[in-house]
Amino acid sequence: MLYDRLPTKWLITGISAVLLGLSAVLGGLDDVAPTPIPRVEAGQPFAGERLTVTAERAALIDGFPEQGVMPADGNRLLVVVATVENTSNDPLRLATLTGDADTMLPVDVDFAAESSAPTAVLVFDDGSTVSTVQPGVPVEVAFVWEVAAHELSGGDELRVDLLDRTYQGEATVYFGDRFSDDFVAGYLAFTIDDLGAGSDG
Amino acid sequence: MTRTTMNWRHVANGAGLVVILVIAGLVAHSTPSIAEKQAPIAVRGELGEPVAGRNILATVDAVRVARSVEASNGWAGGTAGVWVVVDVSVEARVDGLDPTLGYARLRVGETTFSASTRPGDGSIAERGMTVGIAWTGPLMFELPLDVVSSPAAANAELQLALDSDPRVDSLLVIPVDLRALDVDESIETDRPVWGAR
Amino acid sequence: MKAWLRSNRVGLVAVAILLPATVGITFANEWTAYFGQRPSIPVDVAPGDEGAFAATRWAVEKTERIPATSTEGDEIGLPAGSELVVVSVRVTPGELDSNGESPRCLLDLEELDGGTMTRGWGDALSEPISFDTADGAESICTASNTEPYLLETIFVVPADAGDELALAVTVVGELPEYLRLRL
Repeated sequence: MLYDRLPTKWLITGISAVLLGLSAVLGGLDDVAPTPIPRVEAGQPFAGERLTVTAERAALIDGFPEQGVMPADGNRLLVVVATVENTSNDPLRLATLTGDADTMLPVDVDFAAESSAPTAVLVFDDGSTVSTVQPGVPVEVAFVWEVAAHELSGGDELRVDLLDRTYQGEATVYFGDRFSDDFVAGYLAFTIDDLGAGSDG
Repeated sequence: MTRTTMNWRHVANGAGLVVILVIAGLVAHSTPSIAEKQAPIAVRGELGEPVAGRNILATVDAVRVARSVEASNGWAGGTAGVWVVVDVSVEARVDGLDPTLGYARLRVGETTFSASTRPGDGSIAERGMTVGIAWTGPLMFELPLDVVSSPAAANAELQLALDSDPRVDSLLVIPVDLRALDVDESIETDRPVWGAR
Repeated sequence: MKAWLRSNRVGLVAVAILLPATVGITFANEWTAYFGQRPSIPVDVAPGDEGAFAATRWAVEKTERIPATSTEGDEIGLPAGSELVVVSVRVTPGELDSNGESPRCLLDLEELDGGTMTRGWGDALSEPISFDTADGAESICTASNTEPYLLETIFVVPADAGDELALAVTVVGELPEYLRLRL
C-alpha cells in the first residue's frame, strides 16, 4: 500500500507545515494580549451574567439611623448607589453565602470588617435590607461598607470593580446552579460625595 | 475467500443483537435524570381548599395584584413592577424543631419569583412555624407588570414548601390565574395571625 | 452415601463449624454497627422516675397544660387552638466537666405514640407570648449552676397534642443518646 512507502520524515514535515499554516491563518503564535477590563460610566448599565447594574454615585455618610445601620465610633459608611435588575429566571441573592462581595467591590479600600461583603444592602424605597432581587424588577439599592473615618474623604477618587460569574451548569449535589468564581468584569470611577450626616435613606 | 453461507443462526444472532440494543436504548432514555430523581414531590390543590403535603398544610384564601401595598406593620413598599399579594394560611405538620416557611415562590412560565422579606413581620415569608399551629397572613411577590399580563400568567403556580431546598419532599402547588385579576392601585394587608382560625 | 460422607468428613466438619460462625459474626458486626450508628437513641425514663444522664440526675417535678381558651391562656396570649405545656425539672448536677460546669442541654417536647415519636416542638422562649418563669427557676440549662436547680421550660403545642408526651433532653457530649423523660 502507499503508506508503506512514505518516509516518516515527509509525514512529520507535512503535518508541521499544515499546523504552522493553520496558526498563521488564525493569528500567529504570539501571546494574545489580555482584553482590557472595560470602564463603565456612572449611569451606564453593565450587563453581567445574571444581574444588570447601573451605578449612579458613591458617597460617604455618617450613618442611616432610621434603618439601624450605624457604624462603630470613628467609622463612617461608604455608600454606592446603583439600580440592579435581575436578568435571570430565578430570584437572585445579593448578599453572597461565601461572605465576600459578589456584585461590586471598592478597590484599595480598607474595610472595617474582615470580609469585603457589604455591611448592608438597602433598598432606597423603604430602607429595608434586600437580600433577594426578583427577575425583571429593577430595584434601586445602596451598597454600604463600613470604613474608618480617615480612610476616605469627600472628593477622593474611588475605583469600584464590578464582579460577575459565568454559568457552569446545573448543580447535582446541592440545589441550584453552579457558577464560576467571581472575576472583575468592569470598573467604575467615582468622585466621592461627602454627605456628612445626610438624610439619605 | 469462500462465500459465507446464509445461516439461520447468524440471522438470529443479528436480530438478538438489535433487540438488545433497542432495549438498552429505551432503558437509557427512560432512566430518570438527577433532577428527576431529586425532584420535589408536588401536591396539587386549588385556591380556597386545604392542600396537604407530608409536612406542610396550606390554604390559599385570596390572590390580589396591586401597584402599592400597605402592610399591617406600617410598611408601605413601592416597586418598579407590581405586587402580587397572596393571603394564605400555612401549618407545619410532622417536622418538629423549628420549621420555617423557607420556600414560597410564584412561578410564571419559566420564571420564578420568591416571596419578599421587605415587609418584615408584615408578611409570613420565612416565618418560623410551630408544628400543628397555623400562621395566617400575606405573602407578597414583586413581579414585572408585563409578566402579570402575559399569556403564561394564566397558568401561574404558587409553590410552598418548608425547607428552602424543596427537593425530595412535599411541594404544594396551587394554580393561580394572574391574568384574570385586576391591578388595584393600592391595597392593605391583614396582620399575620398565629393560631387556628 | 456413607462412603461419600466418610471420605469428605474433614470438609464437612469444617463447614459445620465455619458456616454458623461466619453467619454469626457477620450478624453481630452489622447489628452492632446499626445500633451504634443510629442517629438518636432515647434513654427512656418512666413518668415520675429520676433519670441519670450525662453525670446529672434529672427528675420531672411538675407538668402543666394551659389551654388557650382558659383565662390564664388568654393572659399569656396563646394562639387560638393551642396549649402551653410547662415542664418543671429538678436538675442535680453530679460530676462537673473540665471547666467545672454542669451540662448544657437542648430541650424539646416529643409527642409519642407507643414509644415512637410522631411530632416534636422546640421551646417557646422566643415566641410572642408573655409567660413568666417561676421565681428561682431557670428557663434553660445553666452551665454555671453546680448546685441542684429547678428548670422550667415552656412549649406551645396544638390542642390536639396527645397525652403521651415526653421531654427530650439532648446533651451534645452524649449524642446519639438523649434522655427522654416521660411526662
